[in-house]
Amino acid sequence: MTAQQSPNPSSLRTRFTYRFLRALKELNKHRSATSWPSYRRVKVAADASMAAAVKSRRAWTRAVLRKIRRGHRSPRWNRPLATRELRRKIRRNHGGNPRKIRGSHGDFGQTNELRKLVPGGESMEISSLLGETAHYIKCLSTQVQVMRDLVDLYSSTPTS
Amino acid sequence: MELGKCAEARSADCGEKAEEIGAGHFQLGEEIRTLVSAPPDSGSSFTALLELPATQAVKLLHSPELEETPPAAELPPVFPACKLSVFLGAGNSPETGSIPVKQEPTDSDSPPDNSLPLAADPMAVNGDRKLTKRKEREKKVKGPAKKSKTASACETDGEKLPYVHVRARRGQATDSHSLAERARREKINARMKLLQELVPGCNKISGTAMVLDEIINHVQSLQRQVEFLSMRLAAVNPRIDINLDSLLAAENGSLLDSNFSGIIMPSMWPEGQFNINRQQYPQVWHQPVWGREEGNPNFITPENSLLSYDSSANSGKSYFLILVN
Repeated sequence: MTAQQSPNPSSLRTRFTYRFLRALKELNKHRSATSWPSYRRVKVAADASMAAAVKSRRAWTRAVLRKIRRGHRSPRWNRPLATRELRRKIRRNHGGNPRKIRGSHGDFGQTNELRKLVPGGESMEISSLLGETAHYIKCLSTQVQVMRDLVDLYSSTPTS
Repeated sequence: MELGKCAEARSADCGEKAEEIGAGHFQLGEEIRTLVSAPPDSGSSFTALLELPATQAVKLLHSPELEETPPAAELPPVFPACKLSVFLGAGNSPETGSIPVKQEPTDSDSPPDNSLPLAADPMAVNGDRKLTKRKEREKKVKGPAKKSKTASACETDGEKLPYVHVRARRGQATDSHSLAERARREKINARMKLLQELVPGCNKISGTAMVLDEIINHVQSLQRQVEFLSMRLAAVNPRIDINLDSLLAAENGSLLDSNFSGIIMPSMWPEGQFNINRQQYPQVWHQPVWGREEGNPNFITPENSLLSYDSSANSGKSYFLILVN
């Protein structure tokens, strides 16, 4: 293999690994009848761990944490939106994104596509959107690497 | 042809103008001095340019000018004696509409440039030659309308200037709006370049549309991978039950093995402390969960507990501190 490196204890990857392992352990501990860890829970745990590892320094992590928390508070209700949330939605559509249609360089379609992909990308200017995308890609690839390693680890040591 | 005429007219003009604008010239001298040292810094100052708020008009110089200067024999002929000055909020100087041209400081202009002892002498000697050379170079450069621009190191002094000098390309408008637009576009282009490096296989593609497509594809594929891997993990998860605690310890070793391709468990991670944490941790972890369980059974999910742990700032911070030492 390659040369040995001592892992950086505060790198993004280690922070994410620790959080994710704990989350997985937690998922297993609370295995009641209904909440056998379906894949969706694992995915949400992974996203939450990653966002928590980055810790709200980025707009997309804040959006992810917001989404998860909101998904918690009303998971099965279709309650009518509270006035505050409604107002926030309307404000976001109107004032949040002046450059959504008048894209720069004329690449309108792709910009909107990118906005849908990156969490929290709906109301960002293009320059900040690109920066967030770069960080998001980096974090996603870290996440994929760690999860893949975990899967390999688990599937290769069935009796541990 | 007009360029030549304008150049000469401008040199006379600038002489007078130079004397009028007293304050401006001291700064001009400073700029010129910084410009002399600018060429190696042109790269970094360009990024400094990007950090400037778009509301400030920026001062831009042709990078070809900087690159093509004969090395060290002559002083870099980028002493704009007459620059296009954009007076923010004070109206534009009369040269706004016309084509801007770089001028050497001729002898008539040099009195205000007393602060440049370096500049004066060699300039006087090589004056005419450099003037013609530069005019040719400018025509060559501006003809094909190259898009390269760099900010001078004067950006760092930019905050002190009451007005900002602007070098616009030929045929480009120089009002503050288009300047701000241009700064913004440069920023966006720089970010696109970063993204291109990040996404594999984007270096060869030219054109922003295709690059954006690639980036979108990459993000989508990464997200799909996360989904599939989480499905696999969920399938594999039952195996984790067995001896989870010891597995966690072992996993850290072997996981970090695979992650970091061979690892010495460093003393930075004292396992003893780690074990202690694990004992404390289930207590703290579970309390909020139990509290909520009594109230709202529907809302208990593992993510809830994970997040409640995170959202309680104090415990979260201390938790993290313990983790990372």
